[in-house]
Amino acid sequence: MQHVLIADDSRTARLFIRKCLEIIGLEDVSLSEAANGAEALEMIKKGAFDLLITDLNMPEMDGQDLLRRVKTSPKTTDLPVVVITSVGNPAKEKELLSLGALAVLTKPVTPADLLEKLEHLING
Amino acid sequence: MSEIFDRAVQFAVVETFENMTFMEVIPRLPEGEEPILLEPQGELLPVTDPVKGSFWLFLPKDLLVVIAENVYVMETTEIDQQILQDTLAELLNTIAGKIMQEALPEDQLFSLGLPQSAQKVEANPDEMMQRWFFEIQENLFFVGFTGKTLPC
Repeated sequence: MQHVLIADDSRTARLFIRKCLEIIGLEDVSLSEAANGAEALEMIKKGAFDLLITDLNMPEMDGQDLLRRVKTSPKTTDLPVVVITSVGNPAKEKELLSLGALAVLTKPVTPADLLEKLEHLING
Repeated sequence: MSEIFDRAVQFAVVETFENMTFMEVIPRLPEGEEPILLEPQGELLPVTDPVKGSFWLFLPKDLLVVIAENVYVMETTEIDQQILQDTLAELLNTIAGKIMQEALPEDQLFSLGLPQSAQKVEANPDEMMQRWFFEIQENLFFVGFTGKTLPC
């Protein structure tokens, strides 16, 4: 059983990611949800997650700040982080990858996009 | 109107609705009087860089309910106003990002604010206002942009 945390201020977006994960066959998975970066960070500190999927543009703490904090803490630095953003372009993607993101996906995300980026995690 | 921006809006709206709601969208060319939406539900999203302005999305309530039913796989009676507003916000967020990606040079960074509920499209006296109309299952809706200049 893998534990995945989805951080997005939009309930619709969280549901959409859930559906994408179901479609690509991630069934033996426990999904948790956070409505912003601060909430996600607290959950990560308390729980053991195998994957974080986070939106970039969120209130309180955005996805980039969350990514930076996760990757600079020795306790969470190995947590794979996928960033989903509506402001996707090569410069922003490069910046997020340099901060340690496993992958950066641009909205609207499709199940195929997620499968491509998560295949080795699913199979591994 | 910038042809690049015009094309970017059409591409972004069609792709977003097809990917998120699996519904076919048809761009409606302007003809005659501006169409009126029934029980319009609106959202605005500020653009903060490289220009200052706002994107707007207005859909008739009946269409938004159908979209929310598709996305959430819920009965109509279970769809509340918060779900409708959240669905609208996520659609606009995705559309606005897609428009900027399409309209701006590939390496141009841009920033969007957080979506807010809107009652009607409002522009300051020194701002332009553009609207693009579309149709889903004979329901009209529109995307708007207000600002001093277009992003491209």
